[in-house]
Amino acid sequence: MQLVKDRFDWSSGWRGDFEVEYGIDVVATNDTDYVIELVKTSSLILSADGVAVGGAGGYWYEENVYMDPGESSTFSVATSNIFRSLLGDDVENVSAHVDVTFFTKQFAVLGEFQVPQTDGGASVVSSTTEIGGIQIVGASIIREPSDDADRTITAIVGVKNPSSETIQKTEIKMVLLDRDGQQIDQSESDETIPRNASIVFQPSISEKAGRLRGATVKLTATVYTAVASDSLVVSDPCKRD
Amino acid sequence: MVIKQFESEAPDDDGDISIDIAFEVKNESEKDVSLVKWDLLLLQNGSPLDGSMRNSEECLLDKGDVYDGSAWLRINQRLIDPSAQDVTVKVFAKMYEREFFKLGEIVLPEEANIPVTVAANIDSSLLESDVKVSLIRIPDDNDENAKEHSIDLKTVITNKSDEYAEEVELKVVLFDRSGAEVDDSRDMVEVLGPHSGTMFQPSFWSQPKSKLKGSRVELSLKVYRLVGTQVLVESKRLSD
Repeated sequence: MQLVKDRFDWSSGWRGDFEVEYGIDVVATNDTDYVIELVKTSSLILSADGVAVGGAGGYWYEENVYMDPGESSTFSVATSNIFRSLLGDDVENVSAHVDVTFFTKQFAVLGEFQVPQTDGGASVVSSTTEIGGIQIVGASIIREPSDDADRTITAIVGVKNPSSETIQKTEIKMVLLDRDGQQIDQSESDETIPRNASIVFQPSISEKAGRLRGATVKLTATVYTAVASDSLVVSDPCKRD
Repeated sequence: MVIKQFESEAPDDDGDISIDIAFEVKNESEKDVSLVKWDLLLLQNGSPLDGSMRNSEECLLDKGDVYDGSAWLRINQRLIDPSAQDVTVKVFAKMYEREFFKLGEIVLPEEANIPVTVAANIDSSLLESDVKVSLIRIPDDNDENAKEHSIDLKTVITNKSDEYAEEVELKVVLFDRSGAEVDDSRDMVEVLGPHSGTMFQPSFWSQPKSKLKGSRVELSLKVYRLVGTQVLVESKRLSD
């Protein structure tokens, strides 16, 4: 995967002349055999002195994309506003070090459960599913007792990553359907799973007890696995029109 | 319908009085109730003070089951007649049964600008039984080389009955080739009068063209019919 600069520009930030906001878009062509459906981006913005004065990254800087093998896509890179005095007089004499990781997606339906019809009840599916290199060790649904009209339905899904790679994003989604099949609500939970580690996902939904009569819960898993990464240094930003 | 709780506090520094009201309404119809709409009003000497209006909540009440509603009101004391602490609570509740239909699914056509149609036959007391939904994918900006396509759906829904159909909604869920839900889109009307019709046009904008390969949409339709109304009028006294 090779990154190519599509845009590197700047404008005044929301605090006017005190700040500069840089915008970076890059183009990537999928030269892997995988379908890319998620990118995570990060950046370091360096002043003329070579000092990192800003940038962005971390868990939440991600964007859904879609690239079949051979396809290209343009996406934005995470950045932050920079305090102008850190840059001296020349806001265009900066560079940005951009890092991007590309992820493919695998999806599986874990099953559809009857919602327990009594408080304290539980439903269990004992089968183990493997998806994206992780093991989903069965799943269960519990119905928590309550003094009021609402009941909380919680799914318990144990996930183990036995591999030597960190799984960047695993998402467990619970969809609650009424007895006619209409979706009542949904709940999602996602986590990064370190290598040789386990995590228990517990998405939950609260709903009126009466509406749970004959209701079902559908559980799905989506695993995003890193398949490629690349870095790029961009410089000489132009003023945004 | 009964009021289960009516609690008011002494005025705060701004002169505002907080009032908590809880009520319950029983499904006295022979139908399963799936939607309750209610308005709660507070009056003094016939003049409105405040209220909690146009509330709507989906539920599932068998015959005899009870719906719990509540409201928190805040009234400045200058609006209240200081010589009378009595107020009137009025609650108007409407209960609805639901008809819900799965209309089927449409596999997205491989090419743009080629409409496809699914026909469904629904057993509804309110709506015409024959429902046809058409789908077409359109390249963004009508550029045949566009990397993104929009998906437009259209269907005509007709109320064949002498009653009002309420909260009529067509829902479309888009799934990718692996079966993962990508997005959903809805179009609805609050009221469809007797012997009238309308067109629903849900859509998905700017989906990556390549992602649509092997995708499909699932269609469902729901409509509510009024099965009962209840009105409660009760006098209450504000705390000193």
